[in-house]
Amino acid sequence: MTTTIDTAEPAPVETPVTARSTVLRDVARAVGGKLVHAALVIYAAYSVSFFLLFVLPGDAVLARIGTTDTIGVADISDLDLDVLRDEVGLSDSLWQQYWNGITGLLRGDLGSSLVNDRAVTDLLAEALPNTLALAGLSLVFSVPLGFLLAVLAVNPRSRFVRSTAALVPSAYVSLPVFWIGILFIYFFSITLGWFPSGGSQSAAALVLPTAVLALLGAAQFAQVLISSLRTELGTTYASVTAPAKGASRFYTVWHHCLRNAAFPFLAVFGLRVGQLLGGTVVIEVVFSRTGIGRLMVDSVKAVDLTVVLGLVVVLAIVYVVVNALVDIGYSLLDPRLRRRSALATEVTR
Amino acid sequence: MTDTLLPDAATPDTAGPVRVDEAVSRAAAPEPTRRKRRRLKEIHVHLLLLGAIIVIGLFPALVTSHDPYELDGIPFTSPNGDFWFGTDEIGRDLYSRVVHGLQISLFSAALAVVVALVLGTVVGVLSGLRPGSWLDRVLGIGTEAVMAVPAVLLALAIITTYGRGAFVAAIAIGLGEATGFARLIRGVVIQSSTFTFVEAARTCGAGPIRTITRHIVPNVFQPVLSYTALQFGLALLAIGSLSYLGFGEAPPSPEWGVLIAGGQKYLAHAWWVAIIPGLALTAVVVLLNRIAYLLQEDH
Repeated sequence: MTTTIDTAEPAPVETPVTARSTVLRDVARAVGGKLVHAALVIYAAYSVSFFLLFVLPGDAVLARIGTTDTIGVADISDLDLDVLRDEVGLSDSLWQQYWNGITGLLRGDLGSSLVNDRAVTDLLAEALPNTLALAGLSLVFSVPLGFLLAVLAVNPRSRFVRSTAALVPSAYVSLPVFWIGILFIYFFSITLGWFPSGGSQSAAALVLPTAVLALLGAAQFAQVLISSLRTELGTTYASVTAPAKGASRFYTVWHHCLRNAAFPFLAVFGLRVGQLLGGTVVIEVVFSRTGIGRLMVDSVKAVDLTVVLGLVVVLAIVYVVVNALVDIGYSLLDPRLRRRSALATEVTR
Repeated sequence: MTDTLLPDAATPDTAGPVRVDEAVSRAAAPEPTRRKRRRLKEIHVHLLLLGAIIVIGLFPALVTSHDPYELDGIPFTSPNGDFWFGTDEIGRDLYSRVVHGLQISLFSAALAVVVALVLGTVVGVLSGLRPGSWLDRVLGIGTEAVMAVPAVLLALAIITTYGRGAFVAAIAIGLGEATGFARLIRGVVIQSSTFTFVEAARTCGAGPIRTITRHIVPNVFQPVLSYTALQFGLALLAIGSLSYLGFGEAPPSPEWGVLIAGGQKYLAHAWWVAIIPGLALTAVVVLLNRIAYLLQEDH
């Protein structure tokens, strides 16, 4: 890939390119590639979810009328149904709807709800702040907690502390997240009465759901960190060089190993954001909070195809953007990757 | 203070996924046989437990005396000798309900894993045969697109169109899990073409079918099996979440997610209705994760 420099510059002999500018160009090219890739993934995510949702000629208009259960379908003539379908654009051909959706997405318009005609972007704007507060707070707490657990699992002299700290994360990730929520409600809200059991008005109501999700994130981070820390501790620089120069075990772990072990952690961090958003959906229902989760569950119950599609696409975009940022950050942060690309340019030139 | 570093680093123990090549290189080093034997024993005990759970799942009547749908006792009897797990809000025996729920959970999770395995194998083999080709790239982007949507959300989207129920939920979860299998199997296919013994087998005149069944599959069997056990546990959790949200089985059914959702309302005066089914779910998932870990470690 670095060999294309020759074609990019017609007269390379008179203007010798400094190493720094080639590195920058390599980084720019890598970032550009990542962005194209991210756009393709978002497009694919939209298409997959669109065809999953719309391929069946759904009777979403029945939900709009809201009389399917009590009065029955017989009450509405087929003509009325057709008129309604025309109104919300469901009578267009599948490809027409797909085209409209794609062009709308490019304009930042996700259509409007089939049930109550409100713009999907408005519904999302209402639901997102609550969810982002919950997800963001739990991420903030889970990172230091994960690092702490990982250091506890490899550093202390006591074998008991080490094996406990190693066991806790792998046990915690086997627990059903909604059930942990219920356990927390039982202990901290019903038995002890410290925090409210749900709702989204007060800040105190945020404590329990944040704790559930933060612990889950910390457990996953700790799992990755523990295994990479163990690998690092087995290398020569950690097991021979650092002790030889008189570094304490804690100094070795904290100063030398943790920096190297943090890179696999970064990769998991990107994946974790996606899972976190999925977990938030369930946790919000457990603690009866308003947010993305409530919106999703209500929309699925009402067969509100456009809102469901909008939610899926927005969460996919969040995931893809975060992972692209992590990828870019990865290559910017790791001096080895930078040096390697510079070296590669030297060699090919 | 520093002398503890070496012995500990030389024998890394417990927890944390181990890559295949690492495990191979470790097995090549002389390892105390006692440790190996203990691990083998541990695997056998876990597999025996799993077998017992499957038998109970298939024949729940073997270990229960009450009917899971009959109103046998007084509502909200706390756990005692007759009703081991207590009774629920209308007096049904919670123990029989939990045991009968196992069947539904196991069946749904198995269906999800089969869907994921079949779909993942097709996609993985197709993209692994010619890595870097346009087909590989298209499938790779498709896989990533499905991964970008949280599994529960993807399942909910599918349920929106195809209706609720354990069957749809299981297939929807399987679709989400297929991405992991696709990546794993793609890697396995690419890796296996570089094995020396595969070349050797070809040189000896073995056809593609014989090469695959006799040489490649036995070698990549263990990581795939371990991953399957892991995904089975995750499928159990995901199906539990879906039915907790009200999109899996319908309420009279004793599915665990349904039991937990039903019990949450009465948490203040009858904790067991919501907590005990969750414990059962946790126990099965922990067992499966442990098996996945042991299979990964042992060679």
